[in-house]
Amino acid sequence: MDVRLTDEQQMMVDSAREFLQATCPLATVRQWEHLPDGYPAQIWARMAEMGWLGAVYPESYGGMGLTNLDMTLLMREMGRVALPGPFLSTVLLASRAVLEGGTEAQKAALLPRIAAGELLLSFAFVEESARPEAATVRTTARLDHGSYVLNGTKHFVAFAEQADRMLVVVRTREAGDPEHGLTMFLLDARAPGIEHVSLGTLALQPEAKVLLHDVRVDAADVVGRVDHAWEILDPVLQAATAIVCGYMTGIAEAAHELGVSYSKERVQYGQPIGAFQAIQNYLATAWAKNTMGEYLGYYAAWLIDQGIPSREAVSTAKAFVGYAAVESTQLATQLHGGLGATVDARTTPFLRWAKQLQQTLGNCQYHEKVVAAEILDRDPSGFDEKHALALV
Amino acid sequence: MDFRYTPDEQQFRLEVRRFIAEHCPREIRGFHEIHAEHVALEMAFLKKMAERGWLGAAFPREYGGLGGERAPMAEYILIDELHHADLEGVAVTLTYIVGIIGNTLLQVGSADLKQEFLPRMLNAELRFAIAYSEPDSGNDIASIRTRAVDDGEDFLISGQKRFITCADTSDYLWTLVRSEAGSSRHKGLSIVLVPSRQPGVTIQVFEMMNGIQTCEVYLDEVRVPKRYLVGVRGHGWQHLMEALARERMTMINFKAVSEPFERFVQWVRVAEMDGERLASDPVVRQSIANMHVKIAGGKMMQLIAGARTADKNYVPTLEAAACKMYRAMLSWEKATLAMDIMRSHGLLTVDTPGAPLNGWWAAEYGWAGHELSGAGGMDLNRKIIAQQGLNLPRWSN
Repeated sequence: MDVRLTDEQQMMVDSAREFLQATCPLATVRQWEHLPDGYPAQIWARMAEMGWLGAVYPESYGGMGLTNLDMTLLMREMGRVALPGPFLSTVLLASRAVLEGGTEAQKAALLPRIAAGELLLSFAFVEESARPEAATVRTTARLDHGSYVLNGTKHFVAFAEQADRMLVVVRTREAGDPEHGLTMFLLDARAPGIEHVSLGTLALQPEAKVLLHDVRVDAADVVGRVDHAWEILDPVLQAATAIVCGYMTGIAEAAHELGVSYSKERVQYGQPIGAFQAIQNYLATAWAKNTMGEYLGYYAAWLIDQGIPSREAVSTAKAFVGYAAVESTQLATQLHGGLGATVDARTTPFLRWAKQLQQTLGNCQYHEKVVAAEILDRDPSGFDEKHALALV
Repeated sequence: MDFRYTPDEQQFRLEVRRFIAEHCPREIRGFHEIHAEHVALEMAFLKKMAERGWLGAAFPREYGGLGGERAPMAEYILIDELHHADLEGVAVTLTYIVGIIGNTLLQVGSADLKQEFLPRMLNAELRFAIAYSEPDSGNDIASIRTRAVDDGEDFLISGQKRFITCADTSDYLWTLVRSEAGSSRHKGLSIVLVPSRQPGVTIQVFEMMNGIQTCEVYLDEVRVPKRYLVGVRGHGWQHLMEALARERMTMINFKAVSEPFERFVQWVRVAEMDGERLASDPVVRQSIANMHVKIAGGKMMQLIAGARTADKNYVPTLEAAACKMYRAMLSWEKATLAMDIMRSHGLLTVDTPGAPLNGWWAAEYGWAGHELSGAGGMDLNRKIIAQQGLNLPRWSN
């Protein structure tokens, strides 16, 4: 058993941290909040140059073949500076679905351009329930003279109006089993019949409600097999959920560090507030929970990389980190007193991000529901013996 | 990163699992700490483990150990599997012997002391109790008043120790004393092995809330040869700090929280009341999953510490403090949840007819109060994290 990073991972983390600290100081990140697209295009271009946008692709598509654990480590560094951008929707969700399910022609046409930072994809999956499960999908597609006609409403589609194309998940067949009968399509983001309702969000990242009115799609723009999208989507969603735990860990840690440093500087009652036991108790507890969450995220990503059943671990990690990141950022805000409640407070972006990502890809309640099914409806005994796992 | 045991470690773990199933007497399962009437059974069981060399798996051969070549994590796995088999009491005893006292002796004890004690310890021939706290010194251990007066070849030790669990069945008391006259606080302390039946030692048993026994120990000019001094005279505090980190890591193993809860989840999976499965109630499902998620954090911290201590020079001060703090945070919370789900059935005590899980949780509810104070409880461990990990200012001298 070994919980250390490899030398390669450590080098990747060190160079990412160096780059992000140099290019994304908090004052700059705060200015980006006013950009019309909600993220800095010049940093996105630099990330493309460094290979981050195609990092999970195999080398044959211009990628680096990074593991899910590597990506979690990288996302943690982005979280530490609260870097905004369509990384989750384009890189971890939509393009990964194309990578896993697309034809050679689709992959060759899309992936190198995404990796180069020339193309953004949005990911239109959840509907009104906002839950990342197959049953949420009610948008339909019917076959009509060799092409498909799409109708329905997709909710909370990040960067829908900024992206060039949209990967949309629809129901092509009512099969009784909600996980059967789903199909993915690639749409031009401005195809006739698509209507966007712009949504502002807590973390200041653009989203839209996307209404599809008789949107006509060519059968060649199906991604993966008709009716069998869930076989591709489920593992993509699982991996993205584990990886996003890394970003949330970075958010939680950075906010905690702000809380610690402020507690050492701020003097009240004649001493730094960090000398009071009450403040120390808060910070000690948050440190412990953040460290636990950090490694639960790594563990989930590592299990996926190893091909070991991981649904319980992914949901446990997402729920744990969801609670921990929200608590940690709330604490940092609280410790800054009245200043913490101002819009310009240095803790504000972290507070916003933690809550937003806690709700993204399933909130804590949702993931606890998944955990309940895993531990109560299946018998997990013997699992650790079979896989020689040390976390039992 | 690799969250798997190596093939050697996994083989050892399965061997321990089989051994326990085969050799462990039923009477010693299910207890937080071993009652006096079960001591002989427990020692016989430990002796069987000792015969396989397991107590000294990580110890040098000259003291009867296996030389540490079996697997760096053997000690961790052994404790882990004892918890898995509902043998927390045995895990605690083993921790006293090997985890705390054995390891500290090995690190700082004199050659003579190691030769006198380690072979018998690793052979399960000796029992110990840990004697730090006093009526006026709980978390603030540096304020102890038990003193050791220099009397030529011996120390004369006088004072009073409180909450000294297992003192009544012990052979030696691992005792923190003030050895340097006129010293104060962290300076001038020493650790001395006091024979439990030496003239001048009086041990009184009293009961904790759930029937577990602990002891008050009175020391009245107890004569102890100076060779029973552990480590450097006057440097007891440093030795104590390292021993405490080991104690939190093993005795305060987070498995003592997670394993009983997992046994509870197994019970919920099949339990029915009035013909309805408890596991089909949405409130039960959500609250159990929520506790599972919380407990996973503690298990992970335990694992991180375990992996890092494969390096014998690593003292997991922060990880151990985090585990212990977190265990205290969840103590009543998990017991309250389990008892709420079991409704009035959860109030039934050990050996009551129909008590789910033989009344373990009713006992746990009484024990939970101890969780909040034992081994520094919640707040001392937060202080350690805040001051040693986060470098926040000290608020105590």
